Amino acid sequence: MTQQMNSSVIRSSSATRSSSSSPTRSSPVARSSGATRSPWRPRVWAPAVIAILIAALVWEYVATNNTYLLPRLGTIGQALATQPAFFLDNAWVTLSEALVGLVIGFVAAFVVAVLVTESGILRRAIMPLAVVLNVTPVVAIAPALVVAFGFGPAPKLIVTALITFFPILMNVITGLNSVSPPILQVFSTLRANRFEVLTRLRLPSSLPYVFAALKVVFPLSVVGAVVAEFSAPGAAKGLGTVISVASSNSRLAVVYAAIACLALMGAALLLLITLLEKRVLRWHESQLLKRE
Amino acid sequence: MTNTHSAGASLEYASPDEIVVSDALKVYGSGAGEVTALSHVDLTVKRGQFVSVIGPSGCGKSTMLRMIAGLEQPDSGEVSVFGAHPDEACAAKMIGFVPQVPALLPWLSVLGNVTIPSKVNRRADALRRTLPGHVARPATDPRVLLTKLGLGDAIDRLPHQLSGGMQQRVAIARAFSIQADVLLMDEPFSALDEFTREAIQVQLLELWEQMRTTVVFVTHSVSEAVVLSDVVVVMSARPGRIEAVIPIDLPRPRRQGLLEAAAMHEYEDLIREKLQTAWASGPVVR
Ligand SMILES: Nc1ncnc2c1ncn2[C@@H]1O[C@H](COP(=O)(O)OP(=O)(O)O)[C@@H](O)[C@H]1O
Ligand SMILES: [Mg+2]
Repeated sequence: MTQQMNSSVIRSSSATRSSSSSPTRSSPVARSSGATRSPWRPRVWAPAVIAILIAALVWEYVATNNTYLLPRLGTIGQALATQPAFFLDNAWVTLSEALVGLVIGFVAAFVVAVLVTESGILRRAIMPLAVVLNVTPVVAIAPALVVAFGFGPAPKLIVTALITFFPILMNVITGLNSVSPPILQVFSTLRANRFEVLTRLRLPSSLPYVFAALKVVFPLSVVGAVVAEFSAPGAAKGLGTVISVASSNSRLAVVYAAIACLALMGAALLLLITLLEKRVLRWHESQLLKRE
Repeated sequence: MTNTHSAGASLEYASPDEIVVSDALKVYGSGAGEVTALSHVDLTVKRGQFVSVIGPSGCGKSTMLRMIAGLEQPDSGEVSVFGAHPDEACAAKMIGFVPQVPALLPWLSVLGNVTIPSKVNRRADALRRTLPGHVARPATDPRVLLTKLGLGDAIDRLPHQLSGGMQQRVAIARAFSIQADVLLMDEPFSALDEFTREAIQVQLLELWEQMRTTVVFVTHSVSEAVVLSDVVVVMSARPGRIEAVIPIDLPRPRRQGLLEAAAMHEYEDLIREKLQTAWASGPVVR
């Protein structure tokens, strides 16, 4: 079980913190000035732009020759342009479901992570349940939740919260345990109590792991909301509903317009969390590497 | 050796002006993997002394330091810190621990790292006043402390903006900041290059000569031990025990150049000789 739990911890540059690296990383590195490394140089943005252009060309080529497979980009743009309020409205519904569900999942996971780290009994009681929850495809529960809770927001929030719960839980647990032994020894000789160790050492140490989890879980929360909307089509709003209704009417342009909205939403959320991470984790190694 | 006194009973007789380790035994593991880290270890450190502990790797230096720091309990024998049990000494924040790596909190500034000990366990001061070995000590301004260690300009920087040597000086300032009765340092300079190391030794000496805090200092370097210490304790391994206790009778202050090289070398040779014996005596059956 331990193996399984470890493997589900999200690994990213910020999650692999090396406590042993401090003595070897010696003299302060002279940081290069920002001006010479502007992100606006062509070699920074050109590859991405070219790749996007090629993808668009391939899309157009396929769409022109197989109209039943893909709508042309222009048609999708038209669908968006003719009724922007409609898409905004539905995007807002999906976004708010995703975010509220995420907040519920985050708070629950954080509280459970702290409880499980502080108490061996709670850990042995809760972790098996959490692992069972993790291996259960939450998406499959969605229809049952609609039966139980109806077509309102409740099933969407529950699915989103469940889908985001486990990744956050595992990362926060790892983060809370990432305090290096020598620091714990110093705090132990000062007889800092458990609350002080939690608030002054464990919680700040967990932040890099929290952000690594958030980056994975923000897009997941949108997935959760959309899947739950699929299960309750027609009755409520949301981009998932738009997609499933438009699909059944073979209105491909609307389907892809809604998907484009979802993709934009995901990108915006990721950007937001990355900017926040930059501000909050100024002190952390992962951010230093990026700056150099 | 097998009779373990209760802590309370023995402390009645423990000296309020000494750190005492008496007949300490520490065994790790069991069965075939059993390691006797310390055996029949007796050590007395007087208040205000700078005592270095030197010996081959694995001879139990860190184990002894952790025992004084209350991080580990001896399997038998006694440890007392100025008349108090190590647990009590910790609860009263009498012990400043400097580990081998700086172990700073990366999200706090230099000043934040130095003041963090005063922000936890706030009941310590009241407890300290009730202990028999209590000595009133004026509070030191952490800024003054940092300036004395040459970190006056770095007060608001984050740890990752400091060199390894600067980080270790912050760790030392953190230990001094609580007006600890004893500083326990476990090879604090071993990760530093020779030049940085000597510079920090000088600063530590200057600070120590002003504060006269009791120090137990684990080191691998014979010359470091001689320059810094009033007493050098030589340990040997398997099982870890004390081989020799050598008082260093050299005048202070011991700044660069003030020391007579010949006298220093004499002590260094003596310590090396004892280390050789410790090496040669190898595994001893007791
Ligand atoms: N936590 C531990 N568990 C098992 N063995 C240990 C532990 N700590 C130290 N030892 C063993 O005790 C002996 C003394 O270790 P240590 O005090 O670290 O030596 P030193 O600091 O002098 O190098 C070594 O043989 C080491 O392997
Ligand atoms: Mg050691």
